[in-house]
Amino acid sequence: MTNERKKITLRLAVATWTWVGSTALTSFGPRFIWSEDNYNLSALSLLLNVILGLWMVLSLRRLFLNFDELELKIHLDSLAITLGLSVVFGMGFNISEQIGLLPFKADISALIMFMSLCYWFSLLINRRRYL
Amino acid sequence: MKNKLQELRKNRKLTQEQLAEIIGVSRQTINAIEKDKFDPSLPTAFRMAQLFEKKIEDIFLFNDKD
Repeated sequence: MTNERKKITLRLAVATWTWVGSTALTSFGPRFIWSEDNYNLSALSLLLNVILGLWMVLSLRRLFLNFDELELKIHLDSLAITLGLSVVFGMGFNISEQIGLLPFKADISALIMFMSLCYWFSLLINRRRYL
Repeated sequence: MKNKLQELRKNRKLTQEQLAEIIGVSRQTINAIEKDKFDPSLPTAFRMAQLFEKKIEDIFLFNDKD
């Protein structure tokens, strides 16, 4: 791994974990850190969360721009599979809740977990295919 | 697409790592091209052709069925 790649990957890791931390702060802050009536702090933490999220997206884009053609193909293939499966299973998940097939609430976090697993498995399969 | 990259690289006594650095791709990409698992982009194919002083079609053997 080149020094530039290490720097870009580290920046993405920092951006991702900071965003995860700010998501937790936005979700649990109004209950455990400040009063639920304090809308200014809640709005401020939400704004911070969105800004950090954008930083994470830009960091991921920078990593993609640093990929060579084979790495880019592997990641774009994986992203395409993840996007397709997420739309299909996400819709199925949502509809099954609407018609009462799900015994629990269909939460967005379940979809994010599903997308992460899809991306991870797609990367594994594509790496085996090309490398 | 079949290619003669490995043969040309070995004639020049280059390692995959060295060729990757000259061409500006990763070693894994060179390995995948040599194993016919991945077709390079046009700029990469041109860089290889320039390096080995060959025409692109002398390095990469196009088969319409691929």
